[in-house]
Amino acid sequence: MLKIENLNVGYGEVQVLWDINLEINKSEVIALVGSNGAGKSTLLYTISGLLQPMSGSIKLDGREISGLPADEILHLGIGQVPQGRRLFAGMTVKENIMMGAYLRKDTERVKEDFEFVLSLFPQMGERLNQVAGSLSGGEQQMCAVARGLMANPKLLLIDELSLGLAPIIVENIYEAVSQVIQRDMTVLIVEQDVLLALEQADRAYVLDVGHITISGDAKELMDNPTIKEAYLGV
Amino acid sequence: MNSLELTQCIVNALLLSGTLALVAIGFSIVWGILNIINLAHGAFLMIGAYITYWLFTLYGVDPFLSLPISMILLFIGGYLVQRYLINFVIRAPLLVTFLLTFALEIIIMNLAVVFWKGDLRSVTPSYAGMGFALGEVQVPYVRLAAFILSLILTGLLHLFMTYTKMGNAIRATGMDIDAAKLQGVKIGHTYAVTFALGAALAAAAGSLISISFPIDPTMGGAYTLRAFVICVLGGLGSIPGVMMGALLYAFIEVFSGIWAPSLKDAIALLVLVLVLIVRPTGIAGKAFYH
Repeated sequence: MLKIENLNVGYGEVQVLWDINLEINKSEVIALVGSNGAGKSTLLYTISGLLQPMSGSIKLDGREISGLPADEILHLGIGQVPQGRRLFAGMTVKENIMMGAYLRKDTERVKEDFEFVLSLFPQMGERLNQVAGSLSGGEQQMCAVARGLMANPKLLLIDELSLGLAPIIVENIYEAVSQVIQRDMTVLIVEQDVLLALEQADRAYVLDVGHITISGDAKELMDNPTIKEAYLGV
Repeated sequence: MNSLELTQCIVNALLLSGTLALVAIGFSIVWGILNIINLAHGAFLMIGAYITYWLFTLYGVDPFLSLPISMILLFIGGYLVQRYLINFVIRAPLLVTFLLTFALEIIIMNLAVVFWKGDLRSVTPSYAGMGFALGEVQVPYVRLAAFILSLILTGLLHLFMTYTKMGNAIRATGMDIDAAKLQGVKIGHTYAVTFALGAALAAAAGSLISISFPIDPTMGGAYTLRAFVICVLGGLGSIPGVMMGALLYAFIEVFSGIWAPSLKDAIALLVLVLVLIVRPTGIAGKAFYH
């Protein structure tokens, strides 16, 4: 579905990602893990079109998408739940969630999807008219995931969902995400919490200071000695 | 000042506040969403006033009926100016957009002097001088109508921003531009629509002002200044804040006009300085549009 080849990305003169190769097949759950500052968010921003690569290619279903503007990439089917949630703080929960469906014209399906995301996150239903900035951290993350789902993307990129949240809340949100995955959505999970990500994923890539150093089956990577030592602390 | 004069001043200030709010709201959304202090705002207002003047003088169009025409024309003009001029420097520091809109103001004003002459002109429909008396307080019809229309337009803007997809996209862009891009918002188009709305509201204010006051090509600068002060008073961010700022400003202007006419602008700016010192976020200030 998504194929990234020899991708180089930087901010001005400073290169952040070197020679990235990554492939996502349909209905797969891929984890992209690595420590803080490894370039994970930079990669997601590049896929979504917020950053332009220096060189290399990003193909969605065989079509070159690198260099396209963000709205076209979303229209082609790649959505993102960005790091830090990035809700529209002054807008209500309902307005935030509906912003996810901004490009969609299929009004009836949008209504069904809205009911679906509320069933995933019943707490959101109770807070529809509340301003998003007033939500707790966990609720904000739910709202951000709900907004991401409303675009009904083929591929959803989820960035650092667990950041700053209590484990029980993280578990709840991943529970909801796994329900979405069962509805045939392909997901790329970016996590600093390596164990958590590997538990969710089919395959995983490890990003280390701008390079992909390890990749493979997620369950096997849990037993990989390098990963155990560097990321799992065992 | 006796109680009759006082009441008359209060009525005058109230009526003035509606139009001033309309002037300032267009200025405020452009500032709040695009982070551009549009010094050409008053020039757009002046063009709106002249559209009403010429439609009335040449074709006998009722000045109130020309309101939608001047709004539509300035909406289109504003869209083009943003999309094909200001958009090229939108990422540049504030000073660059400041200078660009300043230049635009001067160009528009000078073209207006060349084509329309610098004379003071008035729109004088048959009902221009008419009014009614509330007790002994005089209420001119045209100013009351301008006040009501200003409130209606302000209300419509609020509904547009709250209940339409484009309105939500504009607010979202003002709050978090990258997050808005990730929802598929086309920033260039959204910015242009925002700027166009600002220009259309300026045009509406200009049309309404032309019915109550004489107009000339240099009239715009004073309104840009008023819009600026009102935005600072009300805080950049909310429609109610701008309306409160306009109300306060109108009272200051009307009363200082009575007590110290020659110091009218100085007093308004003194209040601006005091507000900036005491409460830099304005009366109801919030960061962005809500």
